[in-house]
Parts: sequence; C-alpha cells; structure tokens
Amino acid sequence: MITRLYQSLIAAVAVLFMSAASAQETQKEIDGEGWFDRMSKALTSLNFEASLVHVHGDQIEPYQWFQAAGEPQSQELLIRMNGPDFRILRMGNRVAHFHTSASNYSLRADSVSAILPEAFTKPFANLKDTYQVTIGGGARVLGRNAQHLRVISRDNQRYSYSLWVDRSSGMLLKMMMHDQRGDIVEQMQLTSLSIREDSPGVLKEVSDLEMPPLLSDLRILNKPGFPVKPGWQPQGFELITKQSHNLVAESTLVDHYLFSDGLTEYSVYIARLTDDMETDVALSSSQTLFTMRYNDYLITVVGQVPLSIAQRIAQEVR
Amino acid sequence: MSRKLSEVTSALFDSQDVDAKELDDVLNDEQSVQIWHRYSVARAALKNELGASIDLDISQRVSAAIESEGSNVIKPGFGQSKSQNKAASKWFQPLAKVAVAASVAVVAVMTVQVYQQPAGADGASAEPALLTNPIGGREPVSLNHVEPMSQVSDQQRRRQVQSYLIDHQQQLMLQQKESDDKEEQELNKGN
Repeated sequence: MITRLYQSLIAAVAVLFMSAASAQETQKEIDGEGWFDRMSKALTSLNFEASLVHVHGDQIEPYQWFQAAGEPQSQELLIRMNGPDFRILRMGNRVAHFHTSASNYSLRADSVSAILPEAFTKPFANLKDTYQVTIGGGARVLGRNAQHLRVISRDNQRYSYSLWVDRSSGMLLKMMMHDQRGDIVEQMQLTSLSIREDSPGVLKEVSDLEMPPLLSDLRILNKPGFPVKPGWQPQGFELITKQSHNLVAESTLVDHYLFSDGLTEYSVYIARLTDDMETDVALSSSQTLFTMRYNDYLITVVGQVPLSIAQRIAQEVR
Repeated sequence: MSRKLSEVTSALFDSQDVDAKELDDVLNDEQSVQIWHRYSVARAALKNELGASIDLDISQRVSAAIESEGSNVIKPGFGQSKSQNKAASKWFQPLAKVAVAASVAVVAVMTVQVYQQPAGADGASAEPALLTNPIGGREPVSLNHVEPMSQVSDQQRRRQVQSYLIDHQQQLMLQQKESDDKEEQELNKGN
C-alpha cells in the first residue's frame, strides 16, 4: 500500500517537473522584445473590459477601461470613477475628452494615453535606440500567470518601467514606473479583466456618438522669439516642436521646446523674467519641474525625467 | 321551533313560508341581510341578469384604508424632510463646481517649497527641500485644487508651477495630434 502511494507520488512529481520544464521551454522562445510586442498587440487588438487603479504620488484613482478591436475602427473608452465624471473615448485615431464641467474636445491620436505611454501600443523597435527590455521571472498577477518585463533606458538617465504581462493573452496587467534609485514614481494595476470575443456592450452604445471638435484648430503657431535656447538633451531625446505661445493658465509669453525619446517627453520653457516670478522652484513627483534664472530669463523644465536631469537641461539653456 | 337564521334566510330565498317573527329576525340581523344580498347577486349572475348595475369599485375602500394607515406609507424621495432631500440631491451631483473650465490639464499642487541651492554647487545636489504633488500622467482633466494659503508668494509659486505643468500636459496632447500632419522640416530645426 505504502509503496503504491510512493509510486503515485513519484509519478506526480515527475509529471510536475516535466510540465514545468516544457513551460520553461516555451517561455524561452519569446525574448523581452517579443513579450513587449505581444503586449502592444494585445493593447490594440483585444476586446476587453477591465477595471484598474492608477497610483501617483498620494493619489489613487480607479478607472474602468474598455476596448473593442472591431471593424471598421477600433474603439477604446476610459472612465474615471472618482471625482467629477471624466471620460476619454477613442474611435480609430480620434480621441475625445468628455468632462462634466468643461467643454469637450477631440484630439488626433492612436491611443488614449492617459495612463500608459503611447509607445506601449507600438512595436518595441521604435524604442530600441534608447531603451532595452529585459525579461524577468514569472509572477501571479490578477490571478493570472504573468511574465515580468523591465524597460530600462540604455544610459540609465531616465525613469524605467516594470511591466507584468499576461502569459496567455499578452495583456498588460500591472505597470510600475521607477526613478533611478528604484523608488516607485507611478503605478497601475488591473483589478479585473475580462477578455471577450465580441466588443463590450458599452462601446456599441457610443458608436454613433458625435465627436467634439478638434482642439488644435484653435491654436496659432509662432516661432520662438528669445535669443536663449536649450543646448543639451539626454541621449536619445529629440526636439519635436519649438514655438512661442502664451501659457494656458497664465498669460506669460514663453518659448516652448518639446523633446521626446519615444517613450517619455519633457518641455523646456523660456520666459522673460519679471518681478513676480519665482526663480528657484523644484518639484519631483510623477512630474518633475525645475526652474532657474538665466540672466533676464526664467528657464523651466517640466516632464517625467529625474530631477538631476531636469536641472542639467535647465543649466545648459544659453 | 326556532330555526337558525341562515336556514330562515335560505328558506326565504327559496320562496318557502316563514313566519312573521322569523322574517323580522332576518331583517334585523345584519349578517343575514348580507347573505341575502350575496345570494341575490349570485342568482342574478347565474341568470345573466347582472348587467352593469352592480358596484364592484373597491378603490374608495382601498384609499380609505391607506388614509387610515397614512403615517406608515413610504413616500418616494431621498428623505422624509425637505432638508434631507436637498442634502441628498446635493450629494448626488457631480462636483462640477470644483472644476475650472477651459483648462485642459489636471494638476493638484499641495505644497511647493523653494529649494535653496548652495552657491557653487556642481549641480549634483539639487535635491529640493520638497515638493509637490501634481496629478501625474497625461491626464487632461480640468481640476484645479489649491488649498488656500496665507502667503502671497506661496500662492504665486503655486500658480506659476501649475500653469507650467498644465501647459506641458496640453502641449503633449497637441503633440500627439500634430505628429500626423506636421511636416518634418519644422522638426529638429536648430536642434
């Protein structure tokens, strides 16, 4: 009797080993980049209903998130569940923002990108020059078998991401953004996920909704007017736009330079210094802001970059 | 020979003889009169003589019954008093009044402090005294959430910080839109 018990135990253990080994083998076939691409594909091609929490600083915000990959255009809906009602709806490459209290407007974009960087919905090849993706271990996330990935900049001069991706569907389940010391700057965790064959009902309802007007139509572009300009950017960052405009909230006239490395962005602002301006302000949270004086100008750097980098960018504005 | 009243009633109904005393008893007894009434309705119905004359309307009795129990009937609404109603409907309203229209980004700056940079620092030690708490990500929400502060300079600092953070968010959103139709020649010029 006992020997038979042993035998069955041994058999069970052997089966376990074999399945573990085969699971490992299938994992090895996909490298970090492969997993990233699976994730970006899942983020654009799955029909799903999910809820999530987004944490940044001491803010915790719950959202509901729907996607329909249907024809002729894919749709995506993100609803903030706390505070004033706020929704982002994407129909194809048009993204509309709906507020209870402000006027609604549309943007042209391929992703909702309120929580995840737009680059997560594109192949990793776009980021390859500046970032590398490494493969971590497995973990149980949202009751699913998940694969851990890390997206790290090659020069380690900016924030990095930890991603947990569902092994069966490729869907992103959890995200953390870390600073250089490894402290968490921002994180996102799905709290429920249901992947469906057809599109979620709520998206069928909104499909004939009239989209609000495009925001950019209201804007006038001018060339930068001040003689000082940014002289240095971290490797991999490129200038995307430069122009002169008045700040949205105050009417200060600024030269604005926007830089991007494909995953994250920062702005450099140059304004003529006046008496009421604060010159030495720094803050670092999920957004970094660094302000300093250069001769008669106020230099301000804003973006998701480490403070030390923001400082160097500001110091090299000449 | 005193028959039971019900027997007398049914005898009367069948047109059998009853004596005067028995008839008086039946007429004086409420229950018997009702029985008589029910019998007649039943007979009329069987003979199809009922017509529309019979009054089966019970609404008056129901409403009278409700009236008598009025204090226990639950009325629709949030609360029993007007003030409760008002409080409840206020609570259900979105917090629209907190929000500032027109602006596109969300920033909630709780505390911002000036960093005092030691003169001649090589730049590595710019850790600020600390700091603030803006709502991160690229959320284009219109919520300005500033706590009242006593010092004017604090307010000015906050306003300045916020307007830059908001503007950055807006530029990001516009950028996503522009990347489609903006031409390469505008980009990287003077980089």
